[in-house]
Amino acid sequence: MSSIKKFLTLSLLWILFVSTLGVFEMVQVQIRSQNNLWNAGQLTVSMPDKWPSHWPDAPASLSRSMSVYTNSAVLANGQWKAIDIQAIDTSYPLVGELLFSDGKSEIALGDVYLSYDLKTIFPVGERVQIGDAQLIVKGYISKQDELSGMKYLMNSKVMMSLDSFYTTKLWVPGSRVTINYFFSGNPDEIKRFENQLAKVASDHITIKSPSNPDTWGSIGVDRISKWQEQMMGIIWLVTLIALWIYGQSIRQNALESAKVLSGFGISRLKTCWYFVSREFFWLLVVVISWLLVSNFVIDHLSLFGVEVEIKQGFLELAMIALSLTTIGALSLFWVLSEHLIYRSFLGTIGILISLYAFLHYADDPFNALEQVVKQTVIIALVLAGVYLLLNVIVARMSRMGAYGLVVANNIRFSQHFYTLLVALMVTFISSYILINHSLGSLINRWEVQVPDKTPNIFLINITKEDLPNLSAKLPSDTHVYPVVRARITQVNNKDVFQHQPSLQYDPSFNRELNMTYQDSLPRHNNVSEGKWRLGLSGASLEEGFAKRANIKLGDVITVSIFGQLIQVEVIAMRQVKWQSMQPNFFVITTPDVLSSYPATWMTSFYWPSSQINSLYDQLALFPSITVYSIDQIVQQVKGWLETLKQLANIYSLISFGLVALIISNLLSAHIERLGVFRKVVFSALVPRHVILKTELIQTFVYMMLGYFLTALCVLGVEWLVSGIVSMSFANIVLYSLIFYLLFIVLLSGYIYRGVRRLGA
Amino acid sequence: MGPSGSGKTTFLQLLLGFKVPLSGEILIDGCAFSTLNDDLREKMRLQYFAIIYQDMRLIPSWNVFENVWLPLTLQGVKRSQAQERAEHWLVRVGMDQYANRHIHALSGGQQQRVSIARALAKEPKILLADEPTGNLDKGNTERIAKLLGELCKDTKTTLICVTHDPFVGQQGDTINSVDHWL
Repeated sequence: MSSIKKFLTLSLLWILFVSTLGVFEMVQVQIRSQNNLWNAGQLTVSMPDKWPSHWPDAPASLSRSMSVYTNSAVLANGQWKAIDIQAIDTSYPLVGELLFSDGKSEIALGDVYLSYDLKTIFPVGERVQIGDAQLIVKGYISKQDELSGMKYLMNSKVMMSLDSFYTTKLWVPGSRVTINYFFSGNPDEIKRFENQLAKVASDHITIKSPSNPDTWGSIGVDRISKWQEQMMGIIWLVTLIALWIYGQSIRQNALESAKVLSGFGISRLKTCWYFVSREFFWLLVVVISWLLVSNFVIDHLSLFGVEVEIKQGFLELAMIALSLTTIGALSLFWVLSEHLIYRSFLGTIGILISLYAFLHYADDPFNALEQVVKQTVIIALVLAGVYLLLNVIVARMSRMGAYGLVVANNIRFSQHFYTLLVALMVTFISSYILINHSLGSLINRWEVQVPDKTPNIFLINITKEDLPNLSAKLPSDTHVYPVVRARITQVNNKDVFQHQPSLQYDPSFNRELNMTYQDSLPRHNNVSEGKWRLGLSGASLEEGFAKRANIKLGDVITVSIFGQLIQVEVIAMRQVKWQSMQPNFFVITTPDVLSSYPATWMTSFYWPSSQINSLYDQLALFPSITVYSIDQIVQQVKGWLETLKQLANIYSLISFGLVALIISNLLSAHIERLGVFRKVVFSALVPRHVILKTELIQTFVYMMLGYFLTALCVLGVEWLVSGIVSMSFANIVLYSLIFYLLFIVLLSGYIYRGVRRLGA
Repeated sequence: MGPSGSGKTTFLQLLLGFKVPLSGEILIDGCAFSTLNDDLREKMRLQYFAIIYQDMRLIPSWNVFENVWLPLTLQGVKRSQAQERAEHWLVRVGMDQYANRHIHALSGGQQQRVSIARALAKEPKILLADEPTGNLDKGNTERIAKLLGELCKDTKTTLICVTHDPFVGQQGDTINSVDHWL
């Protein structure tokens, strides 16, 4: 391999490896640090209503404040625009991250601050009607101090004081309002107060405090971690295999040179040290080069705007990269023993993976170590299986005569791992295609698949008073569903988390659910088990939901509504068409169960996009109603995906470059090996047509082996990512076949030419 | 015998038919070998010759037995027969104990023995040797030269050996010294 090729291949491989790690790390570090910053030293109590009068008051030494989250709509340029509202009181615990465009970080009565996307619609000084209140725009939100809650919602954001919020009269009992009470001060005081609250708190109230570190900083990180874990096994193995192969080529050179140089009295150890130090230097040059370049890029682009945190993560990555490089270089000493490397390959991989995992996750609070090791062990076992299978094939084929032996020659020594490397590289591509291609087109495909006149408008927070007038303005077949916020707390009188421990991590059982009551089930719901309703009283659960919670027909569930507990028997299971774009509910009860509790109403219907303004005009009479336009949401999601696609494009480019280089190296190695074979057997005076035949067979088997491993790896990726996105990689398997066949044709021509020139 | 550059290897290539003489003819068993076309020359080459090179030309990824056995099978010898011959010749050259060793684990002298076994297992009428001891030390040179001579006598194989080593040259029945053939 030439020096330039070697440098490029190693550089790209390292960049791919560390940038993948880096992206995940940086996102996690940023989210975690901001979460921790916001939550540090505080006790947070979240509930859907005001502080109950029978609850204990906070000690005077603790400072207390509150904020309210809800959503509504504002009239912007004649159109209703959905907004998310955060109302904060004057003692809201700002931690230096909340900043408005006018330089202030407090909000006065009657003022409002908006997210920047509303700047062109509402300039500073403009009046904005929100609910019943008219508020004056004082500026825009430059920095937000939190990541939970509203940042993840898709609507424009509005911030106001708590007093201003009261004047909007948007606080409707049973509506989607979340109130957060914050207490800060002495940690011991906080702990004592938390213990007092724990005695009176009901299930639908969330308490977060520093005494429960597992809750801090995890918001938003879980999903990223999952992606990372899914990818890490593959990435590690590819990198380690590449290093191993690299070591192999050095080993070969070192051994050959040692033989020659021993004739001149130079010791074997000295020769090998020369190679080790030289190659270590190479690896070091590569790693340090890309570290410096990446550092420069991060410094000057401020990619995520949180430089300090990224630098910390980056330093950690640099340490890992250097450690790996050192381990890689030192492991070259192992190859001095001629046969040891073959026997210790899997052991080496295992040790390196374990060491790396330890370095990387030793102090990881998210318990990722176990999962990552599990993933890599599974993949390593699969590879070990392939390795053993190939060895059995080699042994059998070697005994099958001349052609068997030449075919076996393909997979002797490290050749099969070269092929494996190609396969794994293709796996990389498939992963990026997944991001680049699939996610991007997911929404387009979904849009094409949904039938005409599928509901595209959702209305929520409809009050009982609004119902009669609103119904007259909606399409005639529109069905309106009552929504009661409630939480399932027990199954058959047993705490729900004891009944099914896995539910502790299930968001549906850690918050209020939207439940409805109906006399007859919605049209897009089918009863799969039990009966509805034939005079019975009870609840119907969605099939998957019930399965997750291990709830069966005839079980009695306890539901908590505003602190009151009621018991309902499960009388039916339902299949729900989630893509129907109709309001769907995990729990539907008969009217006698829930109809006496406070409720809001929701509905969905189709409204032509071209006439959307007329709808907003009509809905202007109902300011408390929140409108969700699916078209707008889809547009917004498309925008996000576009950014993702751009990132994926860069990744794909690196991957393709790497694959091209590696394939070029592999083909060179294959051709070189054929050249040796050709020279030797021709020296033994084997006829040229026999040589041609054996070389073509070797090439065919070599390429098909590559294809087989590619297909295996692609299927592996499909399996790995199936938890995230359900899709088939059949096309990649097909394209790979074409790719390999094409190489067979090209190589065949080259071989024919080479054989014809023998003896000339 | 002759110094480097005198045309010894070219002479062997002419004998093998890899090169065609510009004038004159090469006759093998009365057949004008050098005037035949490529395919016929290849058939005759296969039938009459075997060759040993200075650089051994063995496949490093195969073991000793495979290096002798495989060319035989590719030359069209039946599998079982090739196996017998390979085993026989490895015994004759004293390499039977190393049959399962890989080539890169052998010394230069041992590799040349394998190369000789491979050539003689073909049962050629004429064995060509191109500087067969060129890469070996003095002790190995003597051993290989004697072995070659003995084996060819035993099998009544004509050995044409080009060398610049006087010791090797002296092992032959006839010595032709050349200063400059080309």
